[in-house]
Amino acid sequence: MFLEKLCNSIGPSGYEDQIRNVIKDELSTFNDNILVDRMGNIIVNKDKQDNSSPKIMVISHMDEAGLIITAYNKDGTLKFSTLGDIDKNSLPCKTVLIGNKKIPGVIGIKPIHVQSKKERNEDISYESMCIDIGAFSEDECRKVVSLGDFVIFNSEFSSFGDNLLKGKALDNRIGCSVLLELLKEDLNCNLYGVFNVQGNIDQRGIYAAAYNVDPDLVIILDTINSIDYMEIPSYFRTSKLREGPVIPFKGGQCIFDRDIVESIRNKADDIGIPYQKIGNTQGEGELKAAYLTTSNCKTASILLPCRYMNSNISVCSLADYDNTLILLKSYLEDYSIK
Amino acid sequence: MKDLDFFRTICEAHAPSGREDWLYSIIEDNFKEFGETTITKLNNMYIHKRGTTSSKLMIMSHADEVFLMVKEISKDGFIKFEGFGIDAKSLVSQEVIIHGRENISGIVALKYNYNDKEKNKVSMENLYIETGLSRERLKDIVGLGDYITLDRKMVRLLNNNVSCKSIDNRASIFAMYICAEELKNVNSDLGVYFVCSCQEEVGHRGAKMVSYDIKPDIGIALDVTFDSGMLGDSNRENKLGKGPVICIGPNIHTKIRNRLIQTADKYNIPYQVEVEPGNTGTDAWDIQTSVGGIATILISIPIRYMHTSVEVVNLEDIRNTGRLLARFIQELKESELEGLFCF
Repeated sequence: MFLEKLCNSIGPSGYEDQIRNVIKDELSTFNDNILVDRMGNIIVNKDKQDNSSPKIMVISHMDEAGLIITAYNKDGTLKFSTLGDIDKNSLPCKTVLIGNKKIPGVIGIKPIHVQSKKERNEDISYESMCIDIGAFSEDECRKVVSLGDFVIFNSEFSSFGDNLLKGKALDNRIGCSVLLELLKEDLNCNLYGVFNVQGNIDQRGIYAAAYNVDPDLVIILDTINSIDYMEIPSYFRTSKLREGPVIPFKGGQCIFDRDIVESIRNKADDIGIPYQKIGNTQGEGELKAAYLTTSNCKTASILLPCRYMNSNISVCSLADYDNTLILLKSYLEDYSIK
Repeated sequence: MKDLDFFRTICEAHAPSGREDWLYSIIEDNFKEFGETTITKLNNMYIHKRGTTSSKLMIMSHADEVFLMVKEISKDGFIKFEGFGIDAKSLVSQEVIIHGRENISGIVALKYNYNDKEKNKVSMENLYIETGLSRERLKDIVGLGDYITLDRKMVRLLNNNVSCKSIDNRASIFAMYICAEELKNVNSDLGVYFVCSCQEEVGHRGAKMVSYDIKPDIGIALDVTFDSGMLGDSNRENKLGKGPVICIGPNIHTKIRNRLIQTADKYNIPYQVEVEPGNTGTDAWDIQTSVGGIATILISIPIRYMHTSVEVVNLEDIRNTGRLLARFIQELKESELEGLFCF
């Protein structure tokens, strides 16, 4: 499936070149109305109604969680920080690729045997990790890796367990994949598909894209952390894997249009697609940008449950993927008729 | 490179303490041309290359790797586990293989706590493994006490450094392989036993069993040691790429060790020295006191990030370890032994 190629492609926040080209190449096989704005967002228009009907913008960020090189250590290893919101507990002992040259490296930590008692009890910190590319000296390392080089996780996409998928960057390449499939359909509406940059750092790409498109309706297609596991009390379970997309009333600081949210939910009920109702998605504050910029238009979001979002390996459900696509397709067709 | 493929294969293979046999068909395939193979009841394996005399030299590398074990299957179908030699901090978001009725892949997840960030602390109690299977299916495949091992493909880094899981101690098995290759057309005085020992990671138990089986005149333990980099052991001087590390201390037979250093100097094989004032924490510790006392030395290969899925080793260090051993064995005459053993 094309999602595999999307997930295995490179594009941390602010460095979306490769993933942008992968998506553009795919789009160009069926659409020639592709624009890349000054921030790097891809904007595709598919108008079946000669610009007479409302503009619907479906937006999906294409960047992924990554790291960035910040300094050199004396022993030839590297210091780093995160690009986007990553739980640093998930960082030790992963394999990574650095920069456009894809220099392989690993994230090392001090062996348990030589940790002091204090170190054993401490949480992991950036000081207690390094990226090792096998360089023997700081000088050698400087020749191979530059400060500011981005780093992505080196995890392979594959199927997992019972009808699930695992891989890096499922947040939000799974949304991109749904949007790509949506754009391949001949939907009877004035559809703008946007693949935006910097989704993981406050959804900054949306500001530019929303201004450039000036839509009447925005639907944000993204993932939502699925914390449905391991003795978590039910009131903290934001979303459940395999139980359909989440259609919230509020996402972080963004209050969605109640009518639109309800009409999407009604559509799902009509065609028998499972979905999850959530009043508020806690901690998913990044959705605010769309609301702030496009306050003249109606906004809603459809979120795909994703476990271990923003780490080297995350998990999504194929059934959720299919259901999201069917629901969106059916809703958009309907929306323009009204 | 055929020999690097062998190294990659044994690193990526899974052999937790007690199930070293999972590795042995690969080792047998690659070592059988060098001598006669024996596998003991408790999963020690040795390959015997005959010498021209009855004196015996034993090279021992433990075959087992650190591991996890299934402790409980939770109500919502996650696996709780026990760790053996692995730092909980190194496990979050790690991919693993669960060796149940069939091998299934899993991801280690950290229990999330919205209420109290303090409780997000990484500890074995807060870690679970997800398999993506329902509790019912999981229970069909996985039982309590099943082994879990880390899942990692080998990565090549700069300067002939490679990273993988289980480089502790497959690097030493690879060094034995290099040694055996070098000795292929050599008739040494001493017979050589290449030993893959069992259960080192849970208390070097195999070392004793094999020592009493073979009763060697000289025992050489091969293992890995810490490098002295930023996240290594600053109380040592070991560096990756500077050659095998020869240990000095009460666990080590002084004269044999000096004889080894002579060989290294003669053939210009790089080596480093480390000091262990007490327990070396290796098979050498148990070989030394076995069978009424065995002249024992320890050669270590420096690695980074020991007991994690991204251990880093230098291939030249492994090759030089194999070469040094081969030259030492090739040169050592039976007639020297009495002098070496005499205090």
